[in-house]
Parts: sequence; structure tokens; C-alpha cells
Amino acid sequence: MSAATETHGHSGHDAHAHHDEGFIKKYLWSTDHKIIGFQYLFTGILMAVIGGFTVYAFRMQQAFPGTHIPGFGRVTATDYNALVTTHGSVMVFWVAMPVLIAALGNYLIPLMIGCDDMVFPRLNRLSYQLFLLSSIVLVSSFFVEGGAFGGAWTSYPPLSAKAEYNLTGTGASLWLFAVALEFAAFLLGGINFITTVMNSRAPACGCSTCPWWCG
Amino acid sequence: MIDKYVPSASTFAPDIDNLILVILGIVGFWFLLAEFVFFGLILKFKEEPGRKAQYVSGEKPEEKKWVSIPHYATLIFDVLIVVMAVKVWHNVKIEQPPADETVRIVAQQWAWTFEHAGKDGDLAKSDDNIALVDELHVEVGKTYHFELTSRDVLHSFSVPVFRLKQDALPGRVVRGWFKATQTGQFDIQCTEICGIGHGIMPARIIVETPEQHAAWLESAPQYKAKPLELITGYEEPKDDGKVGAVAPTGTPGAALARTDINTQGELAP
Repeated sequence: MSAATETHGHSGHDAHAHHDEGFIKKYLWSTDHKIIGFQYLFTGILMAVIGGFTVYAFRMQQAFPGTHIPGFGRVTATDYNALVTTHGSVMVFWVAMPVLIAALGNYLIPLMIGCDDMVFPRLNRLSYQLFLLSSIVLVSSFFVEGGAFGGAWTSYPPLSAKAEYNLTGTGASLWLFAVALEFAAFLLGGINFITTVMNSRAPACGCSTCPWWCG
Repeated sequence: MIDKYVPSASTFAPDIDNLILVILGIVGFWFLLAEFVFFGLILKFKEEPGRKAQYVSGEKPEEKKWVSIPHYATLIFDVLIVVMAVKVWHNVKIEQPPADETVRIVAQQWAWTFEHAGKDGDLAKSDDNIALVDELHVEVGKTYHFELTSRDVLHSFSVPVFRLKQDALPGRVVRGWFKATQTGQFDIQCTEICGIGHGIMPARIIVETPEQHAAWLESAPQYKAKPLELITGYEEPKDDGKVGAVAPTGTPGAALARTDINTQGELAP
């Protein structure tokens, strides 16, 4: 709470109107739950575009096998598996989770239970930053030797565990690193959500009267 | 009914198709009904001058029934679907009718090897076994058991016309069965992503009449030595019942050397 009151004054919801912060401090390095919610939302939307592009490329390959796909080029077997894998991973871990859980949760939980902000605003900021880092790691895996991981988003061993089986050793390591970072980010977010809902409810907001979505 | 549109060729295919149809019917009926009620209520109570919104808490019986009746119906139909599904699962996967013949199916990156017992009908005795890559010959109307395993990673043995799909696990032997009901050539496809050659890992299943099958047995090349060792350095994994206890055998990516994959020249960018 101290971090929130430090930067936002008495009310988290319209705190920014009171004093002028720089763009970076206000939108990129914020501890405000609504801004972090938006950060998750827009990063999720950007990742949805990337995930959408991957599915476009590999479905076009199925429709017109072996031809030049506009915007991508020729889809090789390695590319195909990397695209399928990245599509699955992105849509679950980098779109559904950040948009449905992190963005809506951060934005709405404090509003619904009547508190200023999440209880751990700086943990919240760290959570988003880890998530952003994980997205960058995942996308960067397309540009390493051998290409992005091609062992499906379910990542079943031994295909995913051995480079000589999946033939995308560096990509597999980066994929795993990205997923681990993403899970760390959501662990921090989850701790924040649970603690906020349990400790910072408005007095009238009991177990049974609290919004169902928060309970 | 489905086989009018999607060919089916095994004894248990109709069971699975019927189950899917029943689920489609139940879900479809309730979906249409729910949408009808939903849009009907929207139209009936649409905004009109002088009509005020009403807060409905859902506690009166005539309000609550809109929730409770669909709720109980869902439970009843769920139980019905589960009972029917378990019955089909039992008939297809648990209870295996006695085998007329057994074939061994070995999956690897990225090919299928099918080993037949040969004329003596004994798979364990490998003196006249027949091993073919990407081609499985079976006789119509005969119950086949298969012993499915993998040399490297997870694969999945799928015969769409049989409605048969079974994962192959390295180090384990998975047993199953099928009985073809009509002759013809059908597709086999790997349905578990297994590396960069996954998309080019199809095979053919050729269902033959008894005469055709006998002729094929005569003409097929037989191996005096244990055939799979000849082809791939394969050692049969020992099925000791322990999960994951046996290490995968063989050399990873050995099938890369297969000429039909290499001549396509599509693997390297």
C-alpha cells in the first residue's frame, strides 16, 4: 500500500490528474492497477496479432502447400512446426491469460471490492515487466539458429526434451525460458490478486456479498 | 449415418459415430432451444415507451424454473452421455476380442514399420516375418491385434476410416485391436506432432480379400533374420509393466536417411 499512496495520493483512481508525471513514469513504469491492466491488455492484443499471423502462415501453407505465402515466404517443415507451436503457446499463455486474467483482474478487482489499488503495486509492476520480458524472449526465439521451438505447445517429452529429436535446441530452451518467466509473472499477479481480495475488501464486502467474480 | 459422408470401415466405427450423433443431437436440441428462448425473450421484453426495467432476483418459483429445469436436464443428459461413452470405450479399448492375427507397429521419426507374422501366424517366431515400411496389409473380416510402440518420441497411430487412434510411446508396448469390414486402401496418419517430418509421416492400410491377402503373403519379401534389426537397428523394448522404465531404443533421427524423405528435399530451408 505504501507505494500506492506514495505515487497516487489518497485515491488511486484519479490520482494522475493531481500531478504531472512523465510519459514513461505514467504509462510504462506505473504501479497503478488500471495502467497495469491496460499494459497487460495491449501487450496481449499485440501478442494476439503475432499469434494470428502465425496461424495465417501455417493455414495458408495447408491451403496452398509449398507456395510463397504473402508476408511470410515459403513455409518449410521446420517453420511449420515452429508456427504451430508458437501459435498454441501464444494464444494460451500470451493472450488468453494476460487478457482474461491479468488485464481484467487488475482493472476490475480494486473497483469491485472497493479499495484504492492492489495491495502490492510494485509487485504488480514487476509482474507485468516479467510478462513483457517473456513475450520478447518468445518472439526472439524465431531468430535463433534452427528457429523457434517445434515440439507443440504441449511440449511432450522426449520430443521436447532432446535437441536431436526436435532439431530446434536453442528454440526449445528459449521457449521454456519464456514460459517459465511468464509463469513467474502470473504467480506474482496471483499472489497479488488473492491478497488484495482477502485483505482489502470494503467492510460491507463479505464472503457472500462480495462480487462473485472476485470471490 | 455419418458413413454416408465419411467412409467407415471397421466394426466399432458405427458405435463411435452413433455416440457422436447422439451427443450432437442432445447438444444441438438444447442449443437451438436456448437460443430460441434467448432471442424470444429479448424480442418480447424489448424497450418500449413506459416500460421500466425490472430487477429479477430469481427467488420466485416461476422465475427459478428457468434456471433449475435446464440445470437438472443438463445433469440427466450428462449422465446419459457418460454411460454411453463408457460403454463404447469399454467395447473399443478395454475388451479385446480374441485375435486372428497380430501385427507389430513400430513408429519412428518419420516412418511406420509394420511387421506381420507371415505364413506361420506367429509374430514371436521371426523366421518368416514380413516387415514393410509405410504399408500395412490386412484381411477383411479378421480380428487383428496390434502391438504399438515407438523408437524415439511420441507418435499416434490413426486410421480415420476405422475411427482408431492410439498414441505410441517409446519404451512401452500398447495393445489394441481392429477388424476391417470392407476392402480398399485407406490412410494412416501420425497424429501426434513428432518433429519436423511429422507432416510427411503418412502410411497406407490395404484391406484385402482372403484371396488377395494369401497372394500377397506369397509374394511379400520375408526376412530370415529379425527384420526390424536389419532395417533400423531396432531392439524390441521389454514390456516389464513399469511406466517409463525402459529407455528408448535406436538412434534418434535414423529415418532421416530414408530416401523418400530426402528426395523431397523439403526439410532444409
